[in-house]
Amino acid sequence: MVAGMSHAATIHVGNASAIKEIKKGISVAKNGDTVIVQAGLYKEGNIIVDKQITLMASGQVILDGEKKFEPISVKSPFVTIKGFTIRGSGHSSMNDIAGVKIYNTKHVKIIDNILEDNFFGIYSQNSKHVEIYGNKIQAYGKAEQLIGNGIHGWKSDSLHIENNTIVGHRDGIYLEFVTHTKVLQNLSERNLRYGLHFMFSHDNSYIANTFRANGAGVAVMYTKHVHMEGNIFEENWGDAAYGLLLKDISDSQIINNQFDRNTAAIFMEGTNRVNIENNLFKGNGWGVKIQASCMDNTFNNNNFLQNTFDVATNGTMTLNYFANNYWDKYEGYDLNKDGVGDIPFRPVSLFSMMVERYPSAMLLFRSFMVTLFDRTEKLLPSLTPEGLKDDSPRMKSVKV
Amino acid sequence: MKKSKLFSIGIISLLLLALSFQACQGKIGPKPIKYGTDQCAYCKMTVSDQRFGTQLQTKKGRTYNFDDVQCMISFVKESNVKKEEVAAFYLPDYLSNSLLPAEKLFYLKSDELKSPMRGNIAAFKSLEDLEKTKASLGGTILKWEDLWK
Repeated sequence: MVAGMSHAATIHVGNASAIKEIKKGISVAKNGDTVIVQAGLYKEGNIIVDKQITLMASGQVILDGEKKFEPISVKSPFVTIKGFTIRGSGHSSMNDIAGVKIYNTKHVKIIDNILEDNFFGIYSQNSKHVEIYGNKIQAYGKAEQLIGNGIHGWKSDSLHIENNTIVGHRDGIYLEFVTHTKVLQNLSERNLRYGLHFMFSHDNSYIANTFRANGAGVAVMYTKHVHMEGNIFEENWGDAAYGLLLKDISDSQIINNQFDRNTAAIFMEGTNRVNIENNLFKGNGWGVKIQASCMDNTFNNNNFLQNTFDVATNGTMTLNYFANNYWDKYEGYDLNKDGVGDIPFRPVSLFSMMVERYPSAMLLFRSFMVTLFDRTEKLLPSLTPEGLKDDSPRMKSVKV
Repeated sequence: MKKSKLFSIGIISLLLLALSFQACQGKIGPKPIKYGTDQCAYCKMTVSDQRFGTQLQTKKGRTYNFDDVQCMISFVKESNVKKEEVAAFYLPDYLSNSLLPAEKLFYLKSDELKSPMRGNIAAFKSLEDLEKTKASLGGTILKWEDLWK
């Protein structure tokens, strides 16, 4: 590699150059060379990058897959693809065709490209140390059609996905069997299913991303050691939509996130030892829905504001802990002026228990009888889980 | 006059009753799955891939949708609905995506299928179609009963 760099050449491709085709440019390049493609529309079918080169666009270079081909397949380590507009990949129910697909390699950089109307956007298969920066990925999928994911990682390690925008795919970012990966500052919006979705992908962190108005929010499943910090989950509305769906997640951190206007901000099932701290839950239908299968999760220093229901559960036994949260529904007092309410707050209302069992009871919400029930229950808890309470509710909201 | 009026009211109410029972019975056969909206009853994921979305109907007429046959089987194995209470299992034909009764289908298991919950099982209405897909993806042929083992 280093030896190759020392006499690296630059090869120009384009109408004005001796070499008119990108494929030809790649075939004459040696490891370490840079191939610069001049502006224009290129329909070259499937371009395979099988050398350690940098492939760069100068001006607007459109690679058109004509709905038949995979525009770029990377099959060599140490490849950089930068600044292209890649559109119209093939579509198949048998193979996962992508705008750019990285096959069984390592140290690949995909930077500042625009991907439009591809089946899958950027796809890393069985690869390591892949950097995906600053790409704009858009598709125009409809629910009835088969559509791939924006950024798709499968059996990969050490991916770095930063500053991308993904719109209109099935899942914005989908990771499966992907480890030691960082997902930073991406915007995933109006995707058909999930903004972010991962399964069996341990030791990854997701920081400062925005997931907005996706079909069903964000789903994270069957994973250990997840770090989610500073993300925004907003406007995920719908019967089966969640800001964040946690299914079989353990030993993880959910810190400093903002959950704004979702049907259910967090839905937890089979989730253990997750620390949920310093988050803002605002204007959601449900703040947190905890299924009976969850254990040893802690909720500390969160703000619950203007949610229809703060916490709902379907169980009677509760093995999850709430402390030092701010609840705008808290009506207690603070006689010793230490900033902490003197009586505990029970975030699960009787009516939310009823709705959990009979969803259609929602019709009666805000009726006189329901208000009466809830008041009575607050004085003499009978149906709501006794243990599910915050013993030290804050009088003032946490500064986040 | 009065008698006949009573009689006709009786008849009409009987008819209405019969009609309402009819309504309870409902249509026989799979109900359409709303892809992108309906939620898998087992794993809670949105059902979005028409090649793998399955359906279970109980004898009482309730339907449950799943995003992967694997989820449907786990759902029944964990007795959310007992197998005796199930009226029908429907799976999509991999090529046409129409929902068909499970017993009549042929099954291919191949990791290359990459189904939503990695059950990686596809159903086919004819063995010929299955063989064609198998030729390109590989895998093993299964029977409906094998899926329960």
